Amino acid sequence: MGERRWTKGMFDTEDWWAFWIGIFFVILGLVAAATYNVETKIGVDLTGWIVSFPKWVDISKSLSVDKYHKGFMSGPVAAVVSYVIFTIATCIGARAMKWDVKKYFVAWTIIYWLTVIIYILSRNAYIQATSLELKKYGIEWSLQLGGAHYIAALIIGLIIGNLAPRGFREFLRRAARPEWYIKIAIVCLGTKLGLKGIEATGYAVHLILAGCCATIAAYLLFWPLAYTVSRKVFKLTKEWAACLASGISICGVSASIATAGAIRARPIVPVMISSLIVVFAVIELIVLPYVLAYAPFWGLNEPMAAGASLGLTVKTDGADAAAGAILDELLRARAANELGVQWEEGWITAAAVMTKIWIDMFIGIWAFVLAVIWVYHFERRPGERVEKMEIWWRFPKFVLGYFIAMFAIWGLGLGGIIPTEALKWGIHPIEGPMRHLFFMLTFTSIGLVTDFRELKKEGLGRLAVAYAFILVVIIIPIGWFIAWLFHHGMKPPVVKP
Amino acid sequence: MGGGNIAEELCPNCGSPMEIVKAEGMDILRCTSCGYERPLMAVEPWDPIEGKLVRYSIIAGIILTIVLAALINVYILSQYS
Repeated sequence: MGERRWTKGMFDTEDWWAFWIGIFFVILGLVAAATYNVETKIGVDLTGWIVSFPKWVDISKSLSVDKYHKGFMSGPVAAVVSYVIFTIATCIGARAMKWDVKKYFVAWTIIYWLTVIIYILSRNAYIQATSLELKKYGIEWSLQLGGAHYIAALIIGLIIGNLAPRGFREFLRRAARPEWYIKIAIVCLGTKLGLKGIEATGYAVHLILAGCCATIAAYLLFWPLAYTVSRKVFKLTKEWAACLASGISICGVSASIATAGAIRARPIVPVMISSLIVVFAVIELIVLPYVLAYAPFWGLNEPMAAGASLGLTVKTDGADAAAGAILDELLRARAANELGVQWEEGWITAAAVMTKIWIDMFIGIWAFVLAVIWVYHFERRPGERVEKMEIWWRFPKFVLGYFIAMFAIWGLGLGGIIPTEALKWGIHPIEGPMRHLFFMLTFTSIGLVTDFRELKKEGLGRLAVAYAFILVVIIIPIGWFIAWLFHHGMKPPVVKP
Repeated sequence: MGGGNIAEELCPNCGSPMEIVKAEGMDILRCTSCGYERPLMAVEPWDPIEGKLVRYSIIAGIILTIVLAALINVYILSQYS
């Protein structure tokens, strides 16, 4: 322990590589913004190549570039350029993490183009256009299925992940990295809050504070209740109960693994719990956005509280942000159709991600607390000390990327160093198209790595029942109440005409 | 994220991998070579320090919920209602 440095894992962990890749593209956007002249509307276009997927009725218009970079290149060319650049970026990360780069490259290529095809097909205006957009697309009806592209990617991923020949699905899993892709997307999301925060600083700060307070309150109730039920009702041992309570209370897999490390649980413990967390998170991802979008109490009445509740109840970063994105689409479509207002995109997702990010930060602190209790009380290892650096080592590093991106844009915009218009020009392709693309890659990957057969495995029965019971009886009700208590009345800002 | 196989636990007796099997309604870990068995989940008595950990967490959670909710409602959410 004493030999470990603070830089440990900086170039060989998924968490850090989400930070590096996300921050690299954010810096690219900031450099572009710095070169942009708002009068001549000319700048060095470093981010205009990122492909975007607009709704379409004519398939030749199904690929495009960001709205601020129209004409920079055609949509199909942007799809290829995006493939090349993101392939290079992720392969560098894969190599640094000592993955098999050749196999990663092939599997990534299949996943990327599969995701692009799903994205294109499901963005058809007859599937997704809201009632306010029917005229714009010259159509008379639409299924108005906001977020259909996310669900389509998930379903196709699940079909392949569960029904394709074993060799093929195992091969694809080499590049199906939902946690990595979503962490990159979350760094990009930081730019969104930064840009939005320039125009609505007070609202963004309120969201951050409310999310932080909700998380502190929820977490301190989740963990002890989940632990007690695991120990007293389901008769799990301390090591199982602690890892299960952390997994279901904090941020799923990483919390379970961090806790196992802190209390020195057997390796089998976090791995079995992790497989449950992943499966249940996907079930939540499929069910919760629709419940929250259409339940009378939530829905259009409490959109931000509904978003925040996802961060407290869905226990993987990928599934949480993905569920937030679906809820965002569903509620904005409902608001457009039923209230005649257009809420700004991304705020509900931001609420979901914000609570999750705060809860992620607890991993380090809680792993430290548990390590102290286990070392000094349960195991009484003579002479052993728990290093405070454990908190830093357990800290989710992509969260740094999220905040750095957000505060950099805030600082540059509010300080008048770069005009807001220039920031939008440089950063919007990162905040919008790149983030959406990595969200989509996350959905496809979640489907690919989710194997429902895990639930049938020996030894998981009691754990699965305990997990489901705690989730339904403790985590979801308390999470919903806390989210409402700290966010009630908040609505996303309305799009300015 | 998860997926993959359940991690192998090695036998403390001979070092071979252990597998999970059902016996008399219990999940147990059995060594594939020497047959050594140990329960996957044994029963452990509730320790007083666990009670303290749980109690203090819940008390802190309730107090912080009330205090933070009051502050957020007074200073932030009142602007949106």
